[in-house]
Amino acid sequence: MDTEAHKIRTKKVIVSGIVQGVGFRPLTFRVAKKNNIVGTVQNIGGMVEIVTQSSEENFQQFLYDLQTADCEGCEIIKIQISDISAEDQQVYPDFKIIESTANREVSIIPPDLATCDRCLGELYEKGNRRFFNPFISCMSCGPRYTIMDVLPYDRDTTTMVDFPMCEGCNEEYVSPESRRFHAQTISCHDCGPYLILKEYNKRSSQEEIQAKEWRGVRASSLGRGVKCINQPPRAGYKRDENRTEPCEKPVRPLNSHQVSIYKSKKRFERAVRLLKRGGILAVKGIGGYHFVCSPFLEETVQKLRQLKGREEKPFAVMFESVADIRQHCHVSPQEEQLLKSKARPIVLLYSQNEQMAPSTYKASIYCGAFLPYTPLQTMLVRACGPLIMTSGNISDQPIIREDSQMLALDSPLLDGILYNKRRILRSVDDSVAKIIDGKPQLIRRSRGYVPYPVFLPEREDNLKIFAAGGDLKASFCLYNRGSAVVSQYFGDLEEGSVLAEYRQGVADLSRLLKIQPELTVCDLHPNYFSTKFTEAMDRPLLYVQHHHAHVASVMAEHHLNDDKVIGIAFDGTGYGLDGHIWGSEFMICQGADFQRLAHLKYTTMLGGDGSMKDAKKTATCFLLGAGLEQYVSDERKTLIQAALTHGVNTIQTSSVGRLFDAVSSILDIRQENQYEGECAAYLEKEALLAEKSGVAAVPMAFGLIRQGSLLEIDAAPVLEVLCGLEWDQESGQGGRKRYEDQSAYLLRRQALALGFHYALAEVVLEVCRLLGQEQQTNKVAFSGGVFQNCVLTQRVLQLLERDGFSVYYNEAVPPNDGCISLGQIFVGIMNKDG
Amino acid sequence: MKIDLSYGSGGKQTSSLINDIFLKHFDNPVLNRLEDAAVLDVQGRIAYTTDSFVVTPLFFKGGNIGKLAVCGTVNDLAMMGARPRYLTAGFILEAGADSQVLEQIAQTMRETADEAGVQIVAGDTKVVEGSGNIYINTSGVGEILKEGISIANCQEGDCILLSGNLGEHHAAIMSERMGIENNIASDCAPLFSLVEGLLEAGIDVHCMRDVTRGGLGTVLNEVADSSACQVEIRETSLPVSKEIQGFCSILGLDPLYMANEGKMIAVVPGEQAEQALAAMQRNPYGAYAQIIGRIEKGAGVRMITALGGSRAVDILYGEGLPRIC
Ligand SMILES: [Fe+3]
Ligand SMILES: [Mg+2]
Ligand SMILES: [Zn+2]
Ligand SMILES: [Zn+2]
Repeated sequence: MDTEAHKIRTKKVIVSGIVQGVGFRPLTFRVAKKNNIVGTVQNIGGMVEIVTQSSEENFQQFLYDLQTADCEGCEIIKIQISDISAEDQQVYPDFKIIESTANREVSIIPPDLATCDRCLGELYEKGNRRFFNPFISCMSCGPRYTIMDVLPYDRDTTTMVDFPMCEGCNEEYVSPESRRFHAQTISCHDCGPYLILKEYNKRSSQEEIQAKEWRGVRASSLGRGVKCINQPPRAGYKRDENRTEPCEKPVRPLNSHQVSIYKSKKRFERAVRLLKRGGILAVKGIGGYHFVCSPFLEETVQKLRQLKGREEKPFAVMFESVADIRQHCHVSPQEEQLLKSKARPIVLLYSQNEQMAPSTYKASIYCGAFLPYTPLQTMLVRACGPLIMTSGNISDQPIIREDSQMLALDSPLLDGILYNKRRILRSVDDSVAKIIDGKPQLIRRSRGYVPYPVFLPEREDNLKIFAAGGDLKASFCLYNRGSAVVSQYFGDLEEGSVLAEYRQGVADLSRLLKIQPELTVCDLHPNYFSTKFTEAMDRPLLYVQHHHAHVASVMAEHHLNDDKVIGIAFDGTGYGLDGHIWGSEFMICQGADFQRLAHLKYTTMLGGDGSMKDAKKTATCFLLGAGLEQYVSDERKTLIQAALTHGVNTIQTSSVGRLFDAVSSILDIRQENQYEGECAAYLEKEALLAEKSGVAAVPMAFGLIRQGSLLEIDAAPVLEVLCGLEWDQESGQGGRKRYEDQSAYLLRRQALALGFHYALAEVVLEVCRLLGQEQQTNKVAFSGGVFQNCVLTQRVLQLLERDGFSVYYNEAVPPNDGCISLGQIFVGIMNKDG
Repeated sequence: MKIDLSYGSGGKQTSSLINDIFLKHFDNPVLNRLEDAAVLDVQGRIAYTTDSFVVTPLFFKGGNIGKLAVCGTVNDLAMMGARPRYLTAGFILEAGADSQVLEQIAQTMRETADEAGVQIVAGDTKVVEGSGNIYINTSGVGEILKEGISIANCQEGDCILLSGNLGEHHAAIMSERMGIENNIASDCAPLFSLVEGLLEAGIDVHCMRDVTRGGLGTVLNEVADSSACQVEIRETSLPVSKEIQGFCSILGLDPLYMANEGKMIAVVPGEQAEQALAAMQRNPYGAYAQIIGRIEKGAGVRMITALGGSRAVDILYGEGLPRIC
């Protein structure tokens, strides 16, 4: 008897995610066979379409197997299932892989993939061909985007072409049963690449190297992997340009295979020794070099800061395992999942770490932790314990990827370079993410994510679009047939070498994706380097206001194509339609249109990029603007006030980023942004500490003023409450306030910081309520760098959702300016005149 | 005494203005003849230019509108490799202008003209309605000493010299307008002696420019455009006084785009750069001169930053618009 479960049904399954170039179709084939399913599988526009014909029972098992199968390169993001109606059905004799048809195909280039568990198993398996091979990879792991010259993705079209396959590798490469069947990155000890160590021994022979105290490495991790040979360094080993490879003679004659293993081991061991002694190594990775050193040795970390230039940002630390990370940071299940995801981003974790050297992450409460994603990294952290793994670049310049450039760096602060001759074709930084509201939020979207597309609506005219993005955290976007590829992160285009990389990147990705843009989109800011670049392309050009692009990026991600949305963009600086500097916009957005309906009241500030970094000056301008002159403690007050009064180099700004800076300064948390968002980050820290320890927020509220069709948010009442931390309002004299002790002061400060965050969230709710009624919508989309702040974001989400709003925010791209190019593309797609 | 519209009638009051102020101070044989036009002796090819001067306030630390009016025109002549010889001066006075103020301006003009080695040989005065402001136009001729000096003449390998600290005029005017007391004075000065020094030292100067409105950034872009080359400068070589640095950092200003009235750049063959620098530094107006960069193949202006990076120096659009987030 035919029960419901046994009836044969035909279904269409669309799988999206990282499913191409990673062996997903052979996997589907195997799983289908196992479950007695007939049908087809094929790549369609970056997704995989599977047609299945089977009983419901088998189908469910098939789905389950597919999702839990061991396909490490794949990352299934979404599975859509639909029934195929009786008239469209055909009878399938078996299960088939259908080759991609070229015409409708949109090129999908796989991102670089972290080493899979099976390869890691082989890496440490004695007797395996690839035992201890720092370049082990397979069909589901290894570099992709960074080594690919042109499509189709083939060994000859990658930089692996420099390493002809040995017989053994070739055998695996052609055998369908092998994990390395058509694995383009296949390699071994025989065919290379090989590890090369260039050592700089700058210490003179009389200055005997003292083995530094090696904290933070558990005894167990020291014993694993390779033992470190405790030989003293050879005295008088001088830097020799012609000799990059050490040349110890093996004791017994070895075959060539054994020799290359031996050499590789030797070099690795020497590198480990250098690191353990407090040295700094440049280590070649996937998307460029890293500078690597111990996070426990203060002197070393300070040296690293010196090497990198004025850098003040916390350094990312690589750990061997999540268990290791847990010794230093709190890791939630979602964070663990993110850490282990194929992209292996740096994950910002809450940490009150006392163990690491103070210079490692300064006073931040976040540790940027990540797990190894190359075999060499795995070997290094296994042998050394946690290591700082920071991008190998100097100050604001691009990450170094060329061996010659790293060798030419020739800094006395660098102790060695551990590299190989596999060329990296494009610099791709590590991605950075954190968990907010239980979901990943990207802060920098680069390695592991790029160039995986974001899927957007298609235009009937198949217009190909280029969007330039913003100037800071620059990344551009190319669009063709519903697929928007956001490029890797470039940095600040003001830096000439970054602009050059960006320029080259545009040419490179356009070529790879075969996109000749017919429409170009850029920011409205006349002084953006990206604007000038796009104007010089001399194609039809659309200017999109910065904050409109922010909100549009959320609309793009969530397919809010025709919906009327209350858009909120909170960030530092965006050039407004009125020529002022915006940064706290509430707008009604629909399709390609927007109308600004509310913003923070304009404050007159002094102009120039330098002024934006000076939080104390910002505070002075905000206090003067709010009529709170009596609280200004800035010794430059007279000159600043005179300049504001006489309109000397002034700007009008509604930037909420600047408001965070001002508050950070008023509460004497930070007076200067040495890197972007520093003041705001430390203000958030105080609020977070208050939340964690249950300190009650000091109540305060923004004002709301109606100016015709515009709502203006007035920060003055909030600023006045905040000034009460330092100044005695009671006395009316504006005198300094006294606290019983330091901890009373600090607690009060935390309570005020939290109060500020809550007040801002409250006014967001209030404005949304008003606009929602006025505009008849309950959809809210927010974006902007300010929403990297968890305290604010979680509060806003909580309040809005409790009030019945549907809230959308960036998930596939960062909320900071990393989302601008995607938003610009969306406006370009929606723009009817384009 | 306040000047009113009747002073512009061409009658008695006009001539009293001319006699009591302009003739008295400018006093020289050509002007004193009061002919319809000045008749001049010049040798060889001449350079000829004109400029109008509008400044608030009229008086500032380091000078006044009169000094600006003389320096502006003689400097433009000098930059073409010409020895300035004669100036004309046209005055547009708004009713309510003070005759004592005007006299002070005229006196400064004479002093500056003497220093610059020029005579003011013709003039004109008009009075219009208004609120006492004073505007001056000057024209000048000079004798070409070295041919071929041109903004289009810079060559790869040339060095760029800057005669001294940036931003002083701009900062002085701003301080004055804001009513801020400080020690910043305008650098307003006639620069022919610097030019003469370079030529006498036998420098094969390719190009000279006075660095006025728009600042060094703008001038260098003009150089790069006209000579179809890339200008590369080093941030660490740009001379800026401590006081100006502090002032600018508070106000968010970039000395690279601030006006000067007594600074010039000279583009000279690389091998003569040190010699040219020494010649400049011998002159008091060139005491803080520096070699700031080079001419390279390419386009645009590039600055090597203090941290070893580089950035494009574009023509400024919209003062002080921040770009960073
Ligand atoms: Fe932004
Ligand atoms: Mg001029
Ligand atoms: Zn693998
Ligand atoms: Zn091999």
